[in-house]
Amino acid sequence: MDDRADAAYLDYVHGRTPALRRVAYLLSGDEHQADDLVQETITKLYARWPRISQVQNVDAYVHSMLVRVFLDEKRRGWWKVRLFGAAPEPPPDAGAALENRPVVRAALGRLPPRQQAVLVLRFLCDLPVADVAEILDCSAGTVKSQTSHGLSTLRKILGERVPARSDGSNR
Amino acid sequence: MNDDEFGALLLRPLAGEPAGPPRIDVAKAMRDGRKMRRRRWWSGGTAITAVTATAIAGGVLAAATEPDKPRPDLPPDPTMPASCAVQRLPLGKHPSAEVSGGDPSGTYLVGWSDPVYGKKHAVLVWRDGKLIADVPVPGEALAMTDINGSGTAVGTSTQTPYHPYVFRNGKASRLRGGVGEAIAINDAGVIVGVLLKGDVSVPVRWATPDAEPEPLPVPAASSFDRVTDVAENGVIAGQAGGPEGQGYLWFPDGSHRRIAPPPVANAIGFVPSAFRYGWIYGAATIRAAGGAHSSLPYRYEPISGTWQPLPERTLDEPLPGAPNGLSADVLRVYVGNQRFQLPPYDPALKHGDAFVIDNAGDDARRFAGHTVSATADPKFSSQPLLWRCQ
Repeated sequence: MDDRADAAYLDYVHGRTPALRRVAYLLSGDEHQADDLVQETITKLYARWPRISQVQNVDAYVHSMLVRVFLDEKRRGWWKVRLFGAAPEPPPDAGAALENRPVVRAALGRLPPRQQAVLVLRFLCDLPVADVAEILDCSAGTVKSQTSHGLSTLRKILGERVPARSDGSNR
Repeated sequence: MNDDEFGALLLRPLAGEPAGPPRIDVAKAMRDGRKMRRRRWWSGGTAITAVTATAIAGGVLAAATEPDKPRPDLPPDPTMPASCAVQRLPLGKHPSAEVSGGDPSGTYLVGWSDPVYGKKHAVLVWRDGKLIADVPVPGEALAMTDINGSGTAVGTSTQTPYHPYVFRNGKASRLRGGVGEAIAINDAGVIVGVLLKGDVSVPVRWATPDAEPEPLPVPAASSFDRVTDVAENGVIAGQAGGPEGQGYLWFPDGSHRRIAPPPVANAIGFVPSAFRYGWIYGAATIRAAGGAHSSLPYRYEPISGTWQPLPERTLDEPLPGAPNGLSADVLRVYVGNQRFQLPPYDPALKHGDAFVIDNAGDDARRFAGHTVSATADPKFSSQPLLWRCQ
């Protein structure tokens, strides 16, 4: 019986959902939105699953899908803001502590979505530049330049302060 | 402080994990994903529909419009069971396992342990509900798909690139032909599956586990071509000849033909699921208003070309022998052309989770399946189950 495809899909989803939820949570900063992102990703994954055997690196492929869902969601979000006139998030307080999670999240949220994804994948998911480039389907050079632009913008938003290391120093 | 260090320190407050349990609905993902497949595959399919309508007129509609002809000699259906009891199949030392296939009598069942992506699996074989093989496969994690009445099983490695395997006498070995999947085996030892040649999947038949693969002829090669099952008489069902949804048959004498859709309004295809009770069970693809598509369950008898509609199921209800989705509340299977409700496995229901039915014996007295988390909860352990009926 041709049940391998469904069975393999279920095994993949059950095995990798915790990792996908974590990345989705780091991208979105919101637990409910993270589950929505994963739900849409595994739906699209099921639609393409019959041909997944031709993919060499399934995990990278699925993470790519997840990031694309996140970027699409961001685009739809901007469209909704324009259509319904919802108030944009207030700018972060430049004087607030850099260790304050909402402050950093709000600052990150002001970056272009692709730069957000690059920074999250590199600095929160600890992925090397090459892996981020594969997930975003771009060159390593693009990842580096997006990283630089993103951090530069964050510096402008949050002020030229330097976050403290765990030992308390900031040099 | 360089950029890398600055970035890591700056974003550090955002690190963390989602605290609550997942709100993910795997059954819904499969339902919606299936609809997406249909939308993609059938978009722009007008020409195919026209061919379909012409092809139908030959076999099936002729039978419908000539009532005086004697009815074809159809395979007898099994009697409906009166009652069933469910047991958890033994797991050996493993915390979880799933049963994924069985022989037509329901005597042999095959599955694998720890059915989670990335974990090592052992091949498990049960006979009459007893675990008779628990064999790790060095270097590979195999997902098993089918087993025959001699206890020979087939499966596929779970890490890409996939390879087709046969499991017999306690050992697993690769089938010839390279990258692909082994999907089904019959009691004569004929194995069917697909091999990957570039972007194209080629349906193949291995006459024996040691034989070279023989490509099955297809009208026009596509990445949607695949086989679904092989009957005891050697007839192979699958899909070929265009977008997914074009049912296809290969006969032991080398002939082959498309399965025209059933004679129902707006039917444009048929997706076979499995051979059971002498019929091919599957889903007719129906073109709906606005370009959307839906499915209707049908069974097809390939010798006479007879179609029978089946009681409408929800998309979550499995067809016999094919876990076409998850069954969360009511466990129903097809027996002949009627539905039969299996008793639930209470300990699993307490978790509010789901079931997959993997095998129905040809006498409708044994059904096998496993529990599965409907929310992809990583703490859930799949349990293999056997229903014995009278």
